[in-house]
Amino acid sequence: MLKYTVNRLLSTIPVMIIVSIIVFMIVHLTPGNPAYLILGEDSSEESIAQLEKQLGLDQPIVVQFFDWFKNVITGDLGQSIYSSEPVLQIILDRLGPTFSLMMLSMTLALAIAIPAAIFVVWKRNTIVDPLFIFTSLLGVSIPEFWFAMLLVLGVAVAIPIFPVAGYVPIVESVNLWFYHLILPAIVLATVEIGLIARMLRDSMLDNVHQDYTKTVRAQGIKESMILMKYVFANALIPTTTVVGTMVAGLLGGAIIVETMFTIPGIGQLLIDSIHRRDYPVIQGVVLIIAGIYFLINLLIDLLYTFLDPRIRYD
Amino acid sequence: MLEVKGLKVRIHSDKGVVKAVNGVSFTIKAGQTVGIVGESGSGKSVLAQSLMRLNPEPTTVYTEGEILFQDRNILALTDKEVRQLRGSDIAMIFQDPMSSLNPVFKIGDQLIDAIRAKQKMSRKTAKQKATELLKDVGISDPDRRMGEYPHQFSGGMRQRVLIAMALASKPKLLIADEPTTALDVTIQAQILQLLKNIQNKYGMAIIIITHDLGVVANMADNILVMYSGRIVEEGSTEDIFYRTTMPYTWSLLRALPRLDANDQEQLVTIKGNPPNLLGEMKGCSFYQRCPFATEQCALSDPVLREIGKDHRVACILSESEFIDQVNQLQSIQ
Repeated sequence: MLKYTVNRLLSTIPVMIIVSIIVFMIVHLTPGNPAYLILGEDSSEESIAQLEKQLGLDQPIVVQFFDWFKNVITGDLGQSIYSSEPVLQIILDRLGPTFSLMMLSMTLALAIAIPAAIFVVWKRNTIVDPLFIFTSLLGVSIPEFWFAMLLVLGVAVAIPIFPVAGYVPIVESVNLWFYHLILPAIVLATVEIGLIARMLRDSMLDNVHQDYTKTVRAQGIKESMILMKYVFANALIPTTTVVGTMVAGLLGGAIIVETMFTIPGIGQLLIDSIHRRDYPVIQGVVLIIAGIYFLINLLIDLLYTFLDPRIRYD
Repeated sequence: MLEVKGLKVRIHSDKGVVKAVNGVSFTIKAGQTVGIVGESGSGKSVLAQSLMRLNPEPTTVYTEGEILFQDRNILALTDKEVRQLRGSDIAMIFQDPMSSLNPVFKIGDQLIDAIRAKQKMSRKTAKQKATELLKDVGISDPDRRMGEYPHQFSGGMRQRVLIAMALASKPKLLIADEPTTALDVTIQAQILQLLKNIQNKYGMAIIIITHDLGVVANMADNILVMYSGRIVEEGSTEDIFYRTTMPYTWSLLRALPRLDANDQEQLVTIKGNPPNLLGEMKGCSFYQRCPFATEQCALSDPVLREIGKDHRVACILSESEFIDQVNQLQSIQ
């Protein structure tokens, strides 16, 4: 297992190099000039040229790439063109809100999706099942921005229970943290619940009439126990894959939700730095997101060995 | 102990209603071994699962008849009562040991769950009991093996584990649905021997369901031959093997490969396929494939009639007619 993990980690190196090249190229080939954006429309050509020189943007693109890449290898993602802060520090500052949002929405989603799926499988031959399919499809299909606006209009504007937007770090106040994050978390969880519960229901139904379920049924074990223990445990692998991919996606920033609720997370950072043509930050964020995807996927694969003893990598 | 009276089972599927069991009656006494023999699709597994009401509901409907187990009609019990009956009074082992154990739980834990489902005892006591059960079914080093997962066991060993689970609460009736079909021939013999041994030790009645007459030859006291959801012959094992006057049983026996046959001889088969249980049935269900069929067979629907002590046959041919027919057929060949 250790050998497998090390191999997997080593294999990410070439992939990360390719990701670096592609990101760098896309960012630099996109029209727009950071110097122009920083200095404003009225600035003279000379001052723009001077700033470009200062930022190294006058160099050939290949030279620029290697200058950047050399630093990336040593762990230095460079400085923001816009704020001159180190890119790594900016990203780390933004990870807190994004991570909070992911945790809260995922907890919410799992807390609802798992019992819902088990209940539906238990009532599989009744009207509950088609109702569930319809509802989960609805949850998946609702556009986030629309649902977010609806929620804000309802419980933040018309009946002002929750704040319209904003973020308070958990270290300052747990209550305020929760209070600010609950609406965006609900918006994100709506899609997640739909996907997770549907996936879990499908894989549980696949298992309900397997031979081993018949064995325990013939032993006179309660149907609720059969579903919650035996069938559930066997349905976990596909569900874990879905949940893992979602977690990775959310850690890369929920752009729409973070923007709508002005949560200073990774998604908002990415959008802002694209608007500002803040090349080092865009590159840094994309690299970190790619890294997170690799790590989460590795974790999922390692988790499989706990969920299913037949899976061994060595 | 177990009495099935005129049982009819219908299974609703996308293609229509399958008439899986069509008026089956038989009795099993305590400690007896009964073989139910039939081709795939003859309804034998559905019949076996009906005895514990294990067929998936609500697609399975028991339209007629009774299953009396110790004078209680299983078909009239509530779900909870059936659940209490399962495992403790009637236990079952299945055809495919490879898929009948849960792949993600340890053998020991599955066995302990089976024990504790029926008997209130601590995990520790249940564990001791599990060890004993595994010893009883011939698994060496049970303490170590309890910590292993099903995929670390061979097919024969898994079937032994499943038998141990079935024995967990000392059932009065053990239903073995094709218990050796998925196993190697040598392992088959071991498992059958094991079933005999545990029957001696625990004294339960056993129903063995199989398509292989060889399996029941040495095991069963009585044999029921099933065809298209009906019993077409029932009798003692000797009756079936030596005194059959039923064309279907006769064809089955003739189809058994023989060790003393010469290499050039072709295996005898029963031509055609079993009838589709979806359609309307008219006349004898074996009519189309029967070597001795007459025009009358297409019209009449034979019922079981007694031809010897506890030996019943569903065929319109009388014993002498049957023997004539067999002689005639053999003289042609």
